[in-house]
Amino acid sequence: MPSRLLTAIFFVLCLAVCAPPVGAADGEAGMIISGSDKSPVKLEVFSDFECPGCRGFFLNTIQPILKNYKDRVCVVYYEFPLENMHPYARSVSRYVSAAARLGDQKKLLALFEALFSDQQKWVRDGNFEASVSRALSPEDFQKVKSFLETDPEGIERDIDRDIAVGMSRKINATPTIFLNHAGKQERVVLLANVNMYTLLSWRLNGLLGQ
Amino acid sequence: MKKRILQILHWMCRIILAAMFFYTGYIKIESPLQFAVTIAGYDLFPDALIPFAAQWFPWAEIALGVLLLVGWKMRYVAAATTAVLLFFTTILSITYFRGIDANCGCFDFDSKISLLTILRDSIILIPALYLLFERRKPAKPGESKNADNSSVNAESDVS
Repeated sequence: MPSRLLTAIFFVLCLAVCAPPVGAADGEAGMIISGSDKSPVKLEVFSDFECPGCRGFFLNTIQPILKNYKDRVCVVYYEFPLENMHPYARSVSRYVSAAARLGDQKKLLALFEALFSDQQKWVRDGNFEASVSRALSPEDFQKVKSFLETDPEGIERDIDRDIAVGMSRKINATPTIFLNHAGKQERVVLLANVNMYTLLSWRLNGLLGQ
Repeated sequence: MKKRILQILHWMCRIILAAMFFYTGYIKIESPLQFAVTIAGYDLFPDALIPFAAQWFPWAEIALGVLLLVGWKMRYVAAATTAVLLFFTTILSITYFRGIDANCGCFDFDSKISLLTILRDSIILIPALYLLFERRKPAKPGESKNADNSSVNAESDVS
């Protein structure tokens, strides 16, 4: 009996030391739309602006998370346009990446809100520029346009860097999220029929010790 | 010779099931949110139950794995193992035949429920059923016939 117990304890200990590696540092990739590197939990989202699931996730889950958790959760968005399915996804990503160069979280968040809210409109005619101009001031909109004209390669590089991070993490669907806390990373592929806010807030409360 | 084969078979069933429960419990403990999303995807359970199940069910799997290795109250453990596997197979079957596009969540969180995953879970039932129904040494006169002793007899039968 004691030897059996020791065998069992050995197996459990093996499980404990087999923890997955800490999430790789991804350098400059991704856009922080809320919180900072100092936030105790980092929520990374691989998203496509033309994907209906990503729209639902942003409007029904991310927005309440931003409102209720504020700086306790750092929300980082990665561009992951699925070009073979969504014809405008890459073009929208270019505008968003250019807007990220304004260096203002609030402006970036306003752009996200406008693009996701209007998604059903612009997917029909491709006129996403109307949503971009609605979200930004005329000066900022002009700055974004000039970023796109003066450094198109740099913008493409930014998007490709996000996609490369996604590929390295074997993303095969959007939205896919990663929860990072205390050096551990948890990957979650979302389902369309699931109310994510309830589950995500349960998990965040657990991680934040609430 | 037959005794030896039965002994090997008995231990193989226990080790296979224990290893499986350690693995499946481990991946769920490491990804509680993904497991919760998977359960919610079955569209069978009330929302209030999902976080509780996602938090505690993986530990029940680990506990079953430990008990399978330890061999304590083997008949009860085999019955619990069979019940858990039957429960999962039934849930997967119901979800599949309702036409819901959900993840299996058995050995990973990427594979969708299909006839293949249902077949795989049904095959895993075989060692559990073997442990539950394997022939046990009849109790000697004067010995208690409770389940605990039956498991001890089953042990001694094969060792």
